Amino acid sequence: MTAVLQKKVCMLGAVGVGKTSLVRRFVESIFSERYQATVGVKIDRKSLTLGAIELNLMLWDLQGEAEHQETRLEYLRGAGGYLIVVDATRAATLDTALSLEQRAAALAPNAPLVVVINKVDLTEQIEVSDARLAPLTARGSSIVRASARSGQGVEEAFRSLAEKMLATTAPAAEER
Amino acid sequence: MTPEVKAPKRAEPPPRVEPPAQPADPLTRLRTLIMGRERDAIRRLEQKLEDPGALSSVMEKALTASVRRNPQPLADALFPVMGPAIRRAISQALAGMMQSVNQALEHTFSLQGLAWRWEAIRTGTSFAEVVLRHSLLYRVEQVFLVHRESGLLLQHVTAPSIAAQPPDMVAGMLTAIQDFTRDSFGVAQEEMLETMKVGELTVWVEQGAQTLLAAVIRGHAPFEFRAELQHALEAVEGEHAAELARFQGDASTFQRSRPRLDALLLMEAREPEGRIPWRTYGLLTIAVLLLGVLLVPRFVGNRRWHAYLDQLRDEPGVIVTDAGRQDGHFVVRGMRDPLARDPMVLLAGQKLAQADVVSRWEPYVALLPQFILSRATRALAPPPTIGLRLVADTLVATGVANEAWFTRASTLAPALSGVGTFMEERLPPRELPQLVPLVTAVEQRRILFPTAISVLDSTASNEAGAIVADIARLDSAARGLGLSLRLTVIGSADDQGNADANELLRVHRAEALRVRITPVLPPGLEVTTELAPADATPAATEEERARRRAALIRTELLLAPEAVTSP
Repeated sequence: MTAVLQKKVCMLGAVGVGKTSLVRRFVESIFSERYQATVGVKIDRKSLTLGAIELNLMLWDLQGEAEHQETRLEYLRGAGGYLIVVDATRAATLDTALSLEQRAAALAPNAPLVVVINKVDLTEQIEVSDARLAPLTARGSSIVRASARSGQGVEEAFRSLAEKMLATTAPAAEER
Repeated sequence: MTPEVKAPKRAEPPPRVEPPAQPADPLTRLRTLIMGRERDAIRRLEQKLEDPGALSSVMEKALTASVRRNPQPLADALFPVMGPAIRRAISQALAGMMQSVNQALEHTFSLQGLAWRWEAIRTGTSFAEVVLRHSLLYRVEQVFLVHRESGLLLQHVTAPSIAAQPPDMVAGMLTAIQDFTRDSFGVAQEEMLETMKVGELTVWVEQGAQTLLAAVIRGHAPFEFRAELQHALEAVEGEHAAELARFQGDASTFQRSRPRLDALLLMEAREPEGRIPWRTYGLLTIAVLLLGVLLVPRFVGNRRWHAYLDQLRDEPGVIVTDAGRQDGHFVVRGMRDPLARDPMVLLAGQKLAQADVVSRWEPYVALLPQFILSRATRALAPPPTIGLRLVADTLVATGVANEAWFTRASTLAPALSGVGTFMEERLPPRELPQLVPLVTAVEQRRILFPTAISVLDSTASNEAGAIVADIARLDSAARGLGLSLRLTVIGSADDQGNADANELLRVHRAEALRVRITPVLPPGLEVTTELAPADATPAATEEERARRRAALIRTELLLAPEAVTSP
């Protein structure tokens, strides 16, 4: 019998980095060129099977952070893990990601993080260099290069986070 | 608190050291020998600390002592928890009361409201309860138990045949909305969005320490349902305290809370339409019939009474000053001219029993023209040949009467109420309106003769018979008026031939008619003959001449001698 676990996963990142697109690609295998800003939060669900465990990811797609609007990190409460998304074609989104990472780590110190470098299919416009990514990985988070448009790396990003979350849950699950 | 906690320890007798099994290790043996008592005491303390039940009596004593010494620190510690809870409980109780008051007011005056009032009396419950029972129809369609911090769904139940959205996403949104409203409107962390309403659906949310309980309700649930939600939430949190404390996404253990949540899927349905309360209808019908039996006669009686009063008010010479009911009788008071119609006669026309009506009439003199004339007729006793009429305040007497009557009338009339002056219009008797046509009928007939003939032929004889009939009618009418009739037969001739012969013809023709009618006239009529004067002008035409060859009747009407002496 497979055990069913639920985990809350938050999507963080600057405005327009493709958080919603990643979720749509992951959940519905759809990509749309049309941009629609997320207001507040959107919630989606995706089930993953990892070994004997069926994991229900509740994906909290938070409003992107911009200069005049900070993402409300209160939504991070109770999150099992989170993704920070960076737009490979806009170096500025990396700064936002760094700022978010610091604030999030303070709020949810034990929640695992995966950094997603999105839009890597736009090879000619890439501005984010590997060197600049170093501060993000300082706390042990992994980096996945992905493209919501092509689907590349999307499943991997979420699956990687799922595995990390299970790893932190394991002791408690065994305890039961 | 420290001394109190330590107290039981001091009270305990020194623990007896159980002889330990001989350990092989000499160091362990030594340790046991030296520290055995203390280790045992520590183990027992540890056991005690792990068993919350064993500590409860100590805690109770400690709390009691602390409160007795100074209750403030405990009150301060509890206030952040108790304050909002108490506030919410009070506001909910008030809201529940307002709801029932509003509903009760709304239904107080409707027909249904009266029926419910009757039900309240019949069943001995309060009206507000009955109103709530009938009007608050609702169905709890879904109940969500949600982990408060993560928004993850712990348990979800739905009413049968309810199509629900994926409940885990709804649970996430429910918490997200809570966060959103709290952040957006800057309210404290313990405040929450208690109610959401969309169309017919209402979502009631109750918040516990670790979980949210949300109920999706279609219709209007009574406020008591919120209390049920609270109780359920408290019970679930109590039962699952351990699982909640170490919750990491595994909701399977919350399966146990299902029966408790299922119990919240309440439904309040309106009584099916088919169940017609025949007994109530029967009672209502009987009540209506009884009312009808009691009220209809009264109603009909009242209508007749008012019709009678209206008729009295319209009646000349009657003035109603007061009317009403008194001791089961209709009572009317007022004034009545003695010459007016008797009100009792009018009463008969309205089918009201005379015994039911008490009348009090004061006599008075009505100055209406018809009453003035009536009084004048009584006082002056005019002969039938006199007509009285009133022009403004002048009493006019028109017709034929003897001198004595006119004299008396002119003296008496001005003394009558409503009469200012008296005026007489004397007429020759034959001009009395009632006699004029009869006189004309007699006088226009002519008995025609051929030239130089004075004997009645058959046509003339028939015409003479007709004249007799007219005379009889005139005579009868004249006698009725106290007048006597006199007849004069006039003979006439044309202007042709010898004047003496014509003179003779006139005499003979008059005589011939007189002889023809006298035997058949009413008895006592005086008939004389007269010759028509010879015509001054010759007849212009043969027709005119033929018209002159005739005999005819002139009448004269005289006041009878007995009328002269009458008063």
